[in-house]
Amino acid sequence: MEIHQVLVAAAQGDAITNEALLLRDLLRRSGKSEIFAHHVDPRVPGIIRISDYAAETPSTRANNLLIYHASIGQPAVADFLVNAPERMVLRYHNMTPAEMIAPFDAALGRALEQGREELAAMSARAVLSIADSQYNAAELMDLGFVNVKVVPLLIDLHALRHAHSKPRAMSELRVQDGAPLISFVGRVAPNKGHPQLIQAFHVLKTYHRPDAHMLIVGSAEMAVYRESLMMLIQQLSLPNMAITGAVSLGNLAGIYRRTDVFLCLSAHEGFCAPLVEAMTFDIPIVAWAATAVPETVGDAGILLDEPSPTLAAEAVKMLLDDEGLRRSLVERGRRRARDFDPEGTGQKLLSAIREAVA
Amino acid sequence: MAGGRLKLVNRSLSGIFCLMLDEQPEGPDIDALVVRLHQMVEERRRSGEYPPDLERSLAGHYQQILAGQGKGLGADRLEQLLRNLDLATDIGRHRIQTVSSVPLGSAVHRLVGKVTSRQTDGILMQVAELAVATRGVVVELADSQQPGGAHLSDIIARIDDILDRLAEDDRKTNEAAAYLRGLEARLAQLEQTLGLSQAPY
Repeated sequence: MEIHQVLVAAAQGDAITNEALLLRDLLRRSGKSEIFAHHVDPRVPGIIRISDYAAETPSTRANNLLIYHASIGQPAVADFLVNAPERMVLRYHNMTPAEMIAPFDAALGRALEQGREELAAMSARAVLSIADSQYNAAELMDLGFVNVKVVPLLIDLHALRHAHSKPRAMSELRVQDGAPLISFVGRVAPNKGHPQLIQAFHVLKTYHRPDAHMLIVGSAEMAVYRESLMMLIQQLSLPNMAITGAVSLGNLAGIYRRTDVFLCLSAHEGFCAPLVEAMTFDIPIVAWAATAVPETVGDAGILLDEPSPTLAAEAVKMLLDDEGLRRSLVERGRRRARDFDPEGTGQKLLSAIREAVA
Repeated sequence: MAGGRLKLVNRSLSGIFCLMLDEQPEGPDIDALVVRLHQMVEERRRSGEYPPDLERSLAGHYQQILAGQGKGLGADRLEQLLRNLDLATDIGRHRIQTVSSVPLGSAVHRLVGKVTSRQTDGILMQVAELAVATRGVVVELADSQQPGGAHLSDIIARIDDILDRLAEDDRKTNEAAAYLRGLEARLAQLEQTLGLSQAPY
């Protein structure tokens, strides 16, 4: 039996693609395993176009298993999966509600809407579904999926922790030595609450810590949304704040190493891998307790009951000023991060998959 | 695990309640901390450290930006501006009417056109060059609209300026046309005074 994975898009730096790559390494220990995708980023090596699936898997297809990573819609991929003779395991990473995205990117909004429709149609097709959070599992059950397990996202924390950053990375980002640095990491998309982050930083800088810096890290491909954030930063006169765009693994590690507080005001997250990455780098977290965020953070951060900029600024200030509180949350973060250890998570994923095909 | 206590929690997907050993938190109580944070914010408001409408004002900034983008940055708006620009770049003497409803009026128009052709052609050539160059830049920018690329709001503001200037040129042309119509009227009056026939054939 061969076990292969299917993605709509394989992209560099994407958390789902990274999980698929790690899982492929694990699956290859016991047999042939490939990753097939509709959109293939040439920077990610070893991904095969889904149109070449039949040529690449000459064995009896009905004996094989497909793991489909669902996070967005794609009609060609959905058709392929619905008609494929292989058994299928659904790995669910959540889909951002279309209404959050559509005002800034109508095409992406439609793809997300399509994705939810395709997902509903796959409930009878999946022999097992593995959500990466309880929040995501609940969504699947609402859609009629019955055999649902929860295994956290597989994150290559080891590679990140040991990645080398450019020594001048921080000065290139104009972060002054010794100044408090607040960071948020995640795709620059409207569900991530960037306007509230910028407003919170404005409050922190204007009323509490004029020396503070903030970095918004992540690919910023939604031009209109990014433009609106740049205008807000300009209007609020925040020269110490930057949107970095996508960064290399090494520079991401460098930013984490330098960060004093990780601030997340996302309105919608199915898991939120950067929260775990922040814990791994001993960064205390302030986050809005929305969707799957409280589940991922556990007790390892200050979970706000609303995304209020003044409340967020107050929490960040408290963490910058109170060393005892900071140490306590860092310690909790270390403990919580162990729950997402890639070795353990990988084995849980493999066990769940093997049970499904036993 | 000292200080641990048993707690009834519901953590299973099947909804079955399970007994778990719930560790006493060793550090701060986060819920209590958040209540305190709310109180601290409220105190800053009361003391006047924060302006009373701080959050509303911050939200207002972003709403204004979004409203501005809605007017100026949509793909439909850009498409409409390009169509307007296309129409405006059809520049030439062929668009200057010489037809007149009064006898000899058309002849007068043609005569005026002939006398001023050198100046008219010179101006038209400059405007046409400007329009073609502008259109080329705009189309190139619209096609290569990349993340991290040009600032669309600036570009569109500049297109608006160019269209305004073209509209101003159009207004001046209309003024010239009105002047010609005045000439026509006076010509017709002169014809009547001289008793010339309304029908030349």
